[in-house]
Amino acid sequence: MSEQVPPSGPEVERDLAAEYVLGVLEGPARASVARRLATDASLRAEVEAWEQRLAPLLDEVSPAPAPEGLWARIAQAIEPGANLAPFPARPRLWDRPGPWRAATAMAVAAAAVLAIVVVRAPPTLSPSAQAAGSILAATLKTTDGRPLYVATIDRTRAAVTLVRVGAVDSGSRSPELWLIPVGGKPRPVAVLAGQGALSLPVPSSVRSDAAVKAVLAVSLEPTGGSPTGAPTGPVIATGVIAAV
Amino acid sequence: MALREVYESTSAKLFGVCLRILGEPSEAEDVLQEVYTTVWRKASTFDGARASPITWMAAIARNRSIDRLRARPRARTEPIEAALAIADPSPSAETMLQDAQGSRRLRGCLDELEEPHRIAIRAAFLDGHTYDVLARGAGVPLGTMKSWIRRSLLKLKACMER
Repeated sequence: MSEQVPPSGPEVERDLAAEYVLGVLEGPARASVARRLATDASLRAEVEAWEQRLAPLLDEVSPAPAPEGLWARIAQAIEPGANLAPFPARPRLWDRPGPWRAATAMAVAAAAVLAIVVVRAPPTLSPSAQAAGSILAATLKTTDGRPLYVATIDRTRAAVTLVRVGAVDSGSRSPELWLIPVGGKPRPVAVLAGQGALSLPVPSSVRSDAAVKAVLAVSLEPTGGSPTGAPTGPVIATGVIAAV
Repeated sequence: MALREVYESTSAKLFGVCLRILGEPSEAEDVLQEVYTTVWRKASTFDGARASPITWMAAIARNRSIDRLRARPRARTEPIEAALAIADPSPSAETMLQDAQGSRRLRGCLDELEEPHRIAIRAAFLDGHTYDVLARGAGVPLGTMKSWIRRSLLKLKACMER
């Protein structure tokens, strides 16, 4: 296959990660990149960066309802012999007026994927522990109803996973997470640093308060967190904890 | 059963992604099943600090679909005009990602590309076309298409990092 360089075009530097993510590579070239991803961390980082860059193009793909019965086959493939359907009715975490409720559906998907990670980590976690409500979740929204964070609490492991799903303009202040027990005062959980998903231990002082109907809230505090142990800045998002 | 919630909130979008690339509902269904079993198996390796879960899952769906497409016997060739059949649609009002800012930035940067180059980038990403199919669709030599795509990718990267 001869490669013809356009007469006027400058020499174009190759970006294999970009070509791989775009999907134009074929045969050995594609296979070679896929193989190297397992061991080459810098290539993997390049590929992930391109996936993030180009992902918004997927907005142009029309959703199509997945075929009936596919879920049952997936469930069967994951846990052969397990009777996974029909599922017990559960309160919905979100309304679904449209087929693809962007931010909210994504927020729930994010929480759910992370819940898989959390749930799968302890291999001894019994089904009864799950049934007893060891996994809790809350969507923290602004006063005008915009989701800002999705929290998943694993009471078995005393861990809370927080995924930011909306823009937060905290300026130079530090967002801090609070747990407000039913009828109680806000107790500090953690100062939120960084982007994306955070996995935080639930302090032992508030562990017993992390229950259904308690509230999670995020306030903006001086750098490093509230100096008083109580919220001092504006509360930017709140959400009621529910069983998953 | 957290995976069922993931499935319920993402399967229509991911099935759309697979179907767009493969065109055949039965093949797209097979691939979608692989996608969710892979998500299940690899959930523990997912790094939430670096990627959003939906981007991660969409990448798995695209890669599986493209692998399946490439594994097809050569006899079933893509319609040559397929690469050109892509209109340049107005941006969708719905934003799949939480990252609305990244979405706006990508659109702005795509708009800076020449139209045939932008169409080629879209067709490659959304339809899984190879350089060869894209070149035939646009009626240009293979080397020209490679040059268009590579240069466009460099421009996009530079533009998005501005």
